[in-house]
Amino acid sequence: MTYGSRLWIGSATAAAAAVVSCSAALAHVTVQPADAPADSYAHLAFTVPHGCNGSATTALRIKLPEGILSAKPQMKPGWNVEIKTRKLDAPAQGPHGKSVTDVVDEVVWRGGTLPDNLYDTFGLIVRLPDKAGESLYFPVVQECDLGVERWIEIPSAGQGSDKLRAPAPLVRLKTKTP
Amino acid sequence: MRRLAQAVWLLLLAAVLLPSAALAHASLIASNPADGVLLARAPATLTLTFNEPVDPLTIRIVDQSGVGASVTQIRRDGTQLVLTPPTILGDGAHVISWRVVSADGHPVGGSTMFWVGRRGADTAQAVRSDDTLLRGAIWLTRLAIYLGLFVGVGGAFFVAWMRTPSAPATRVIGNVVDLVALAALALSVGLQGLDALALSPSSLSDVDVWTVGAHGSFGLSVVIAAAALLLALLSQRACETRARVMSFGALVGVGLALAATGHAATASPRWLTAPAVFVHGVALAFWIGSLVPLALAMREPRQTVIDVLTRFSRVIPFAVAMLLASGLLLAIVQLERLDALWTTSYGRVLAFKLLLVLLLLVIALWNRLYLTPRIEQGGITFRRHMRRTIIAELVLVAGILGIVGLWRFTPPPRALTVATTSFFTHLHTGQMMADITVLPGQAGPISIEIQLRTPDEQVLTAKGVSVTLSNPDIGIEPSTAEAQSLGEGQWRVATVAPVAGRWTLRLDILISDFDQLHAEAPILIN
Repeated sequence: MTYGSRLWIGSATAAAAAVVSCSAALAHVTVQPADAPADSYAHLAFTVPHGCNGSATTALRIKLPEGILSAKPQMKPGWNVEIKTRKLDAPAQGPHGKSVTDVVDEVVWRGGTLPDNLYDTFGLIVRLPDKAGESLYFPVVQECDLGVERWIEIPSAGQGSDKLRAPAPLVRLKTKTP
Repeated sequence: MRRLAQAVWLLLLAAVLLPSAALAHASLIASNPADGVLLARAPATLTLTFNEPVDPLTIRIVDQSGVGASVTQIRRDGTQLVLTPPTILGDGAHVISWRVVSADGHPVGGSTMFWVGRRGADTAQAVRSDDTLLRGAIWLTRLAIYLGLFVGVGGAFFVAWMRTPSAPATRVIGNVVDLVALAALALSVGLQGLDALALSPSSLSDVDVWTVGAHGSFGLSVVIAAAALLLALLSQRACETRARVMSFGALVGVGLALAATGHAATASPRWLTAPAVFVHGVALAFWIGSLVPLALAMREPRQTVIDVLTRFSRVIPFAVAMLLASGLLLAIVQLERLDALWTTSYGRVLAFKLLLVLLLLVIALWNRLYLTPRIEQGGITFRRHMRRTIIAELVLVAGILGIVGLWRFTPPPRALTVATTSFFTHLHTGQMMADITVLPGQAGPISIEIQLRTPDEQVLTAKGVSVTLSNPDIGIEPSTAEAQSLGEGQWRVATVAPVAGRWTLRLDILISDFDQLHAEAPILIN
């Protein structure tokens, strides 16, 4: 196989994958990257592609899943950030050997306006847990001038996310490469 | 080859960057006719408005018998789809079931429904509106119509057949109640339309309101009642034989008008209830119609009074017997149980009415057994006495008719029992249980009650419950409604299942902002 044909096949596959994932994912609130190494820091970007039935987005709330011991939301001009924490039942061992008793439960961006015909991303730096092979779901509530969209559906075992009307964004945890 | 590959990469990059403006699911933001409205006439075109331009995949119109037709004449106008139904839509429910694809290539579907001509079965039944002004106006027109039919028409009949001296005062009173009743009849059509379309009294100038109001059995009843009132008016100006024929026709008209509509005349079995209402109405018109001429006749010379009273006394026992027999029969059909007399609002209205009727009968008996013999023996004081008790009877009658008018606002217990023929199902998932009651379990407007529990029988508290109905068998796309909380894990939603058959009910239960439970169950609609 020549270099050219390999390049060509690669391009075509990537194009096909992009087209498929495009149509499936871009209508929803999603998170990039789709997969990330477990037990490491990751920069997650939540994309809000549209409002609620044409109405402008006024708040984005992200619920952090179990196992994330540290999280820091992105500062966005025009938006106020609120960080809600919750106490752990039992202190957990943090990434730097510290004992952690409080973790971020929910992050809220509020006060800005994101019109329906524009998109934006909302960033979050998190420490992903050491659970390679698992999927972490980040339920998102999108509040708008008129109405609310809840991207909080989690597929039951054996069910694919693409069947859901409003799936929660998810990150698949890969094995950490040493 | 390499250049081509580069071109693909570039195209791919462009594909990712460019379409961001149109990357939403399409969603329906409006429809014309709007969801759940009642239209006077079948619309020539239907409009679906989305939040972005869409391409139609399949659009069907399903009528209430479940027959669907594909819409092929579709015009795209910006974010709107303008549909021309393949045939003229008949009366009853229609569902527009749509499936479209938006710019992101995602197919989405949904449905919206509306009524033409009438909602569900022919319901000239209980008043739906909560508007105090409208309810008051409906009650007042009822009272005026009853007074016209009973005092006016009944009075004309009495004067013509009982050969009472035709005092000018009798004619004046007859004319006034007849004319007021005719005006009230006309107005009642508009008020009926306002109630059916759920509009406020300010929309009374709308032609559609009157078209809807005149629809069905209510309109028929109004026409018959108007004819009866006109005949009674004319009979007062006719010579003796003609006056008799006309007033007899008018009296029959009273019975027919009452038997044509209303919840008593349309109760099952109709072959029994409609004639019973007819007899009740005719007997009542005779009795009530006699009161004004009799009271006025008391001023006449003694012999005239005696003649009139003798003729009246011969007929009235039959009229009262017919009135009581038909009334008893209707009460049994409508109430079904004796305790409904005090446990339902319909029954309480009836109980209060019966109390006044009892009082009226006591006065009538007093007139018949005590005063009538004494008037025959002479005694002008007894005639004056009789005049006063008859006026008391008239006041009581007005009160009774006012109470009867309240029945427009209360469904009879019989109708409530029909409504309890419901569909029930129990839903069980690993995280929750739901008892679902669909009421009534028949096609048309329905109310769905949901009792939520945890798997260990505790009350499940939820932030919100949305109910989605779809009917894949006949191709009706889902339609979602938000339920109202009744507390204690109970939720209720009013929606419409326009077609009988097997529907899929989906519950989306919001436990907290970020947690949701789903469950699906089939429900059967008759």
